[in-house]
Amino acid sequence: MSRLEDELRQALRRREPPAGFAERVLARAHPRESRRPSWFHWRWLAAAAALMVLVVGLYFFEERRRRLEGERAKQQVMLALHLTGSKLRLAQQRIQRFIGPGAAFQD
Amino acid sequence: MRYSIVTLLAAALPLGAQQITFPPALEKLSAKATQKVNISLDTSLLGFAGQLMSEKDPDEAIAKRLLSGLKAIHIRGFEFAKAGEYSQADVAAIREQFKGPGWNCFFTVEGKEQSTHICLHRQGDAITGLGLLAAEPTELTVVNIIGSIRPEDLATLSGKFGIPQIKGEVKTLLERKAAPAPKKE
Repeated sequence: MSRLEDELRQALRRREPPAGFAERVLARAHPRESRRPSWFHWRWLAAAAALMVLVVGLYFFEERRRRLEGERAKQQVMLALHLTGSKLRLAQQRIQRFIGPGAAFQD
Repeated sequence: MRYSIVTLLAAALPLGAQQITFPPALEKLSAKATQKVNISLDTSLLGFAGQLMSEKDPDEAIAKRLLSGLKAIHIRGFEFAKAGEYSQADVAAIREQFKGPGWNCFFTVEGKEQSTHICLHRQGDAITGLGLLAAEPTELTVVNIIGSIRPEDLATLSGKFGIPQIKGEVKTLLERKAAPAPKKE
């Protein structure tokens, strides 16, 4: 038992670190300390999220603009057809005046 | 083969002879007009409009079918408070363009105070444009529809949008006008 105790004591005895050990440990630890803090990642994430919101917003804005433009174009097409129709009707009335009803178009 | 290359080139060409140029004097008439209509729709706008037209609405379904072949619609309409606000030179500048190659006016009425011209532009067998000039004492309207217009589409349009119903003979006339002129030997 005493032999075991002796061996343990021998193994666990206080030993002085080799020369320069503290400096080496500090030198290795230094790069970790100089790493970016955790808030830096959040900043990038916030920027990416803001960019995504901007892109999605622009997409929906462009879609809305195109839709409004399309609606306006649709109204103009309908107006164009009605206007052309009214002028063709006028032409029909002139034909009827000249050569009698039912000559070219029919109501 | 040569014919198909020519057809492809013709299709790829920008809007040409079937497009009416509105003279600057005509554009200036809007200052005198009490009411004006200025419609200029190019292929992309017609495409947007077509996408928003419903197949369920009968009028829109017809218009959508017509739009599928169209490249542009240009309309200038002016209504004046009194007669004499536009000159005959303004009308003549448009009318002259209907005498250009490919144009064929199938309806022309010319009076002292009013005139109406309805013309089709033809390229080969196809109708590729429609021009309408209606000059009345207090109204002036110019319609220019560019693109493929099928006679059957015109027939479908009859009775819609205020367009008179087209009788069989007129439909035949339109089809005859759309057909290429017989070659002289």
